[in-house]
Amino acid sequence: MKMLDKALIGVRWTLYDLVDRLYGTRINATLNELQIKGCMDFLDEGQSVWRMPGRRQGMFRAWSHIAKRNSRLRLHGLDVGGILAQADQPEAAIDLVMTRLQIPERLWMDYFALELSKLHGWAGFVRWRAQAKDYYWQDRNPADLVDFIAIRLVLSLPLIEEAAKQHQRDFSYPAWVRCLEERPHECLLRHELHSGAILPDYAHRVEVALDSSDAGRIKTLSQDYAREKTAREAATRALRLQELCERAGIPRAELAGKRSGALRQMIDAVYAFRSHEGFVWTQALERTYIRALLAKLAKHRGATADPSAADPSARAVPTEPRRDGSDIQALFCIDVRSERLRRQLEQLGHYETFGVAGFFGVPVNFIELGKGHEAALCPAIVTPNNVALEMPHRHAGHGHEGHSLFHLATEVVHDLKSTVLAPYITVEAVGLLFGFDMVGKTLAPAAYNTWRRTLDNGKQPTRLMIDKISRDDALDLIATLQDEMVVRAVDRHFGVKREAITTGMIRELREIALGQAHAPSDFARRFDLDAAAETLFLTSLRLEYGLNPDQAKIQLEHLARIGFRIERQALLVGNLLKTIGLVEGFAKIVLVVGHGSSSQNNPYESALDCGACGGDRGLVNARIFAAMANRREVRDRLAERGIRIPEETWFIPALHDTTTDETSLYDIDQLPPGRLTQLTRIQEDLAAAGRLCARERCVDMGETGVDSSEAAARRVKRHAMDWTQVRPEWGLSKNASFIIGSRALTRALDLEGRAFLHSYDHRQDPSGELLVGILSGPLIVAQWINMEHYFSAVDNEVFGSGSKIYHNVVGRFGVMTGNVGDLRTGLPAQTVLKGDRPYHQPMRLITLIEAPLSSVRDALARVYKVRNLVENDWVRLLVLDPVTDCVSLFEHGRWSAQSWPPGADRRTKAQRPVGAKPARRPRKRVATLETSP
Amino acid sequence: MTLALLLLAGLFLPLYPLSILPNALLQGQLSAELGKGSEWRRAPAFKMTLLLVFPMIGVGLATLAMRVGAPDARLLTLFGVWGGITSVLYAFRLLSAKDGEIWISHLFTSALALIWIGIAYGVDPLLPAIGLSVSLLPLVFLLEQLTQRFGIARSGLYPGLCCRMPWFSHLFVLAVLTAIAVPFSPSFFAVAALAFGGVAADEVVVLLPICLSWLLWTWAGVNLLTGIVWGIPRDDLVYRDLDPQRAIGVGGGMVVLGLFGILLVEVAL
Repeated sequence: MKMLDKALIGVRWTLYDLVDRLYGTRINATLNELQIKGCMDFLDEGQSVWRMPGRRQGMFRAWSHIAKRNSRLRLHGLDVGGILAQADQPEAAIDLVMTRLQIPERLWMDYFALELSKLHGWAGFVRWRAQAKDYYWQDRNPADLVDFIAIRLVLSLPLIEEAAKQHQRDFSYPAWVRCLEERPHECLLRHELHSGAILPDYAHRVEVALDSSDAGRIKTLSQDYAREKTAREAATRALRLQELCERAGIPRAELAGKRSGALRQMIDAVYAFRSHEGFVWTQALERTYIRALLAKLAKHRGATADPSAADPSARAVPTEPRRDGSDIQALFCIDVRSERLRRQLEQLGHYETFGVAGFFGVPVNFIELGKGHEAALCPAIVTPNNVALEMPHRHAGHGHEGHSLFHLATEVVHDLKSTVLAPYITVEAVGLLFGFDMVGKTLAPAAYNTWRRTLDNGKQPTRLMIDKISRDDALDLIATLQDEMVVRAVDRHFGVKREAITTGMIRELREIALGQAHAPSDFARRFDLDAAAETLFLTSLRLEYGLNPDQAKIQLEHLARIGFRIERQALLVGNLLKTIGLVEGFAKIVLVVGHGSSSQNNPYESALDCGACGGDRGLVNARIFAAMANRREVRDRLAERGIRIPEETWFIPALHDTTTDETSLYDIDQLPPGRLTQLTRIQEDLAAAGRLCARERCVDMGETGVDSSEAAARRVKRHAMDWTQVRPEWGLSKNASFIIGSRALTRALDLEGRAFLHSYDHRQDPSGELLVGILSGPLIVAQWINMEHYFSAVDNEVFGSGSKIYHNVVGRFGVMTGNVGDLRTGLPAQTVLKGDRPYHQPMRLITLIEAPLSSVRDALARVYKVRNLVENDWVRLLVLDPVTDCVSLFEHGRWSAQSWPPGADRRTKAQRPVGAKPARRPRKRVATLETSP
Repeated sequence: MTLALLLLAGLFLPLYPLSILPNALLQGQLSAELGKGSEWRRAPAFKMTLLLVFPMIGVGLATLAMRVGAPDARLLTLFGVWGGITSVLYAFRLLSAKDGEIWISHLFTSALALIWIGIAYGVDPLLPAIGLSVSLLPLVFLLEQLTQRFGIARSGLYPGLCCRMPWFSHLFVLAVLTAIAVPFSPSFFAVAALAFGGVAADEVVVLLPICLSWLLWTWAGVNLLTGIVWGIPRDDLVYRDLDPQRAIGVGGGMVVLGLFGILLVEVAL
């Protein structure tokens, strides 16, 4: 057994770690609890009713302001007031604590890293927040990692000092170094005893020896203990090795024989394998999947190939667009869950589908009706410049005309819950109603939710404002808003209603507030206001109601961001259509299908929505894209670029609910009357395809008693409404591959909902620009999703977020386990595990591109990020060259030809580098150890 | 004479500091000092006998003291308060006990000391004493099983038994709950009998030590379960569960205990 190494102090152990490990204290746990509570208070984004005061000063200052007077900290024996009195800046506090603990400066960075790793979830969130651009809460309540470390260190110092006083020891850095040098046996025994690693039958003796403080006795016991522990470990390992050998078919006699050397070889093999074990399994999974995928594609190609097209170059021409007979085209998200619906829809007939990133090439900030903030609906790597505004079809007016009684009751109950005393009365008064709610949601979620929906009027019909407004219109709009403000201010300040003042008075007040006219105003004269009262009112208008030139300028800038110019609309639509190869042969109806999910009581709901829309539903992007593509001006400009969309073609937005597999059509009221006749059939087709998908889904979910597609549809719908359901759908779990190519490559193939499918026609992309766009956008997003699932499956407790059952939403921005815990990252166990075993197979994203190898290499050379991912083996890249009809895999820094179709010419083609000489020996089937990147 | 008998009874229905002797016996400290050949004193049979016999002797001596000469009510109240303080003291100490032997001995002392409250307020002490001591027997047996497997019965050294020893864990949870007097265990009815005795005598103040001790036992019981039953099992230890027959046997014994508890309520209340 090794003695504790003093070099690890400050590198692997903080000082309080050593106190905990050697004296059985719980400083780390106490510290975590105190810091988490501080973080919850400061970082709250609207969940708490009483908010922490002084947050605008920054995290450390706000926390220290409260900590100085926090009697709970004093009850813990923590007098942080003394430290905070000496240091009011976080940097100074850090310096003070590190100096007081006498930690050498060379160790500071390591020590800080250790501190950050203690609560990596919270530290990660603070770091992300500090670096996020235009993050409202960060701008409002700034926090960074310096604040975080400072708070932790300030809390840790009195805890360490208190423990030192209690144990009558010095717990500073030099004292610990001396302790490990001078009393190594005592430290070892203490460590064993309190870290939970001690041999149970030694525990009492060790405790007695340590209590005696007899150095000789401790040393003797330590040596005895070390011998015994080593012997027992050796015995356990020998037993395991013996079992392993028996499984490997090595007889015990051979193992025991000294001459054979089998034992030594086995031990060496075990040690050699141990460091690579995980990677070997990963590679085995990937190879199995690649082999199966290529076999499927080859079989499909063989079944659909035209026998006359023996020439590979003839096969280089995809059959799209447009498949004969299809009179409806549909654009779907590349999401793995779309694969099922696309397949089922195509099999129903007359449908041709395309895959594209679910934001449909329209990065946009969206302001929802009734919401005051912008939501970026695009991949996280894109920053949108344009804003789309949701407008009601009819004006709701002031007051509550638009609100139902149900809404009003909901608001009242919500307000009552948020006050300090009201809940005590509310529980007595209306508590029973919540009981009905609970019973309904639990026992009959489908029926209960249907009834609840009848109470709710639902969202009123809206349209999207996507066109740019002119400067004059913008100025008019601002003036109208300002006039509205004046009317409200007059009412509030003087109790004067609108009917008592003229439009001229309002306008004059506005102009005076903006500095375009001078007081006194007609309003002042009419209502006998003296100069002081008028000045006070005008100041209020400027400061409180924002009627000042600066504010007007900001409003104008905001308005300038609303909508897209026609040229931009044509560019976005044209780019998308070219990317997927849909430049001719348009059907009369083109569905633009975004996707979203629906579930109850699920903090991870956005993880089930569209990743390409920033974790939101894809409907808005679909509506914007369809609206743009339906505009005559846009089509005129597209025609100039060679994309002629016929007049009779109409784009219809739709939303695919991935939990229920129901697809709803939107903006039908804008549809030309001639197209309405087809709607019923489309809706029936979508419903039928959805039911077939639901049946597949039920098999994956392990549902029993589902004997028809109707029953399956009912079952998945129930999951979406059941608030006790921890797994409403599998989401993107089991995602494995990303196929970039024509649909002809995969049409009718059952890819089991595991493949991202992006349509791409290399013939439309001679410059490779479109491929670069796909690689740098959708592929990156898919790789993120893949890695998120990979790591969450590999070690769910560390990289994932553990079981959902114990999760609590914190501060409206995250979840933690229990009531005080680290902020959880990654995906919950219910998303990637089925019972104790992984449902998601952890493998790197297998990307297959259908394009000439030279084009792919050129594109890769132009996209640094993707090149890095490929070269460092984070993405397994396969290229199916339609010209040469060869498949190449990038592995170990080079391209190697894969047998295509698999099995054919295996001996000569398998694993042979492109352009390299044939290998001398056929590849062994035995898995070989390979080094990880 | 009465005082002497009561003080002597305080050795068997432990009152601090007289409780030191039964504690030392139950913790096997005396046997360790006597050296080899005295291992039988650590055997569970010896401890179980102690647990059953000590209260009987104590109750017998207390009853004798009452019969020899009617003691002064103030003297009995003094013993009642003394018992209450002893009980709370040991219950508080129980919170930090990790070793199984210490845990049992402290709980025994804390529980049996409450009998003095019953004696002070005219509750027949026999059935409560039996109820409190009998409830500890399954736990003694299961702690001995831990000692046989790991060399020591101690919290925090081999967590996560629920994952590796499910039979044992089920029984252990039941045994701990029985020992800390959760409802339907004999000890619960014993505590209830003592408490109602105090209420009947219009001395609500006696409820304070009973309630406080009971609360602390529960807390200590949860600590014990947390350190043994829950947590992540160690990879370097061999876990061996109870064989099903033995587990059924112990489970059957607990059912009998439950029935005894119901009998107790019939007779005592």
